[in-house]
Amino acid sequence: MTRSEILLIEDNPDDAELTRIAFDEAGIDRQLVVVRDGAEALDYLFARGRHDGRDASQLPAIVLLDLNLPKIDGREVLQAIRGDARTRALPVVVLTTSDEPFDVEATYALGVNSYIRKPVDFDQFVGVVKQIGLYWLVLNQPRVAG
Amino acid sequence: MSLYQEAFAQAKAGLALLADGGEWQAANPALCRLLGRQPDELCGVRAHETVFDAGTAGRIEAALARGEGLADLEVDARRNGPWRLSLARLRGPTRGWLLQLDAEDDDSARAVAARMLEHLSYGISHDLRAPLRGIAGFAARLDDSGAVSEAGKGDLARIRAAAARAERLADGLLELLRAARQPLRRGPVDVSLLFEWVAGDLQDANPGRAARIQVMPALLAHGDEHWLKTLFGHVLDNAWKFSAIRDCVEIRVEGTASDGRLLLEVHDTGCGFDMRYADKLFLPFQRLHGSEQGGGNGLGLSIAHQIAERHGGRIWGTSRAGEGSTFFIELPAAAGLELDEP
Repeated sequence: MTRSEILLIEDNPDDAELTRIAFDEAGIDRQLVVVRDGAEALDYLFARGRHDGRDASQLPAIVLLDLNLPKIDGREVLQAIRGDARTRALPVVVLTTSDEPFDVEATYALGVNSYIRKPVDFDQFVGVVKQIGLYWLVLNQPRVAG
Repeated sequence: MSLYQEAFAQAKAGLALLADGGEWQAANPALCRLLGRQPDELCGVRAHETVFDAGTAGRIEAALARGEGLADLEVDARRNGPWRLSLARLRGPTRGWLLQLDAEDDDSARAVAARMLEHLSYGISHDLRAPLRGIAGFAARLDDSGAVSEAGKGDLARIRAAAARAERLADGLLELLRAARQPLRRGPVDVSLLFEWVAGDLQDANPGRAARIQVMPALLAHGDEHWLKTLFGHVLDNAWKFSAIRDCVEIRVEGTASDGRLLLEVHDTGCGFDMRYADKLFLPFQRLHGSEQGGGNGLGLSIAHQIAERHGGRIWGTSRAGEGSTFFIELPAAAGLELDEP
């Protein structure tokens, strides 16, 4: 459980690649699992559909969630994660382009742990990723499943 | 019933006739429907004191006292809304006032445009920034790869800088759209504190720059604190940027309150602007200065203008090229301020 992966839910392949590079540059050596939409994210977390056979008790260390996603959007993913006892305590960080007050308000109401706006500048983005890694993978004491 | 009385009764807009002193004399059915009151509850009294919020009532009271009308004031309605309120001076055989209240119709061109703005704003926020991050990010990646020649690195730096400018532009557009449509949360606002605050932010962002910013204490306005801070921020930022020709930035903020209005003056000693173009100052993307003189994204003063208008206020500027500028901002004063005066 100590080296569990990071789950990135991101539909834009450029953004997914940049996030991967940023994690590399930030020196975070966890595996980055990328899923392209909300439906697949839930399949992954609950080990069903394409991800049938995955051990559902093995949760990612952290979920990085984009808001505007095809099929099931980010808010619904968040709702599903908070609505299930298995994933209720999972740290979820919204990592998105928007800082619409409405989005911020709505996702906090749904129980997100953190809301971060992705900077356009790459060096700043690497800085943000470093801080996310430091906070959630090193400093933060996760709930022990059981 | 005269033709005029019938027109009054049938008008779709909410209308009321007020006596010179402000007592309501007649309210048409449309207005009674909007306010959810019976005509006899509105007539014979200064009904604006009870049917509107304190801020709006204060504005009406100040307009009555000044003898000037009000145009298109946005009203924070108690039950319904949003409404737009106007007050026109009548100078017939007997003096009085015509108060008009318009409800926003769901399929009016205005309401459709407002919804379109909302979608656009959301699109800028979400969808315009993502490709910019792609451009900036992969250019940075290429730069770091070692595969690009020195000449090519210069081009990559330009690509990254252009992406950063486009981002500031997207952010400015978004702020302009939000300033136009977000509901205002009005209350008493410590203007002096907000100016000190944004002055501190500017100094923090430019630690090496010598600056003397003097703000008159105890200036109070009635408005939305968040948006007024944004307004003052753009005005100070403007004064700061165009003071690049001086060794020391010198800005003075003063104000006077009378008749329920607060008139602020922001003086700088910067390069000033050509008064022939004064009417272009507040239009989006109209720059009077090149980037070497400190010109920004061309949106700051339009945002400031938008916020002042939303508050039922005004902003304008005067200048002598080479001698600095003064920007005037007129806002509703904090309610009660005028009562303290003899």
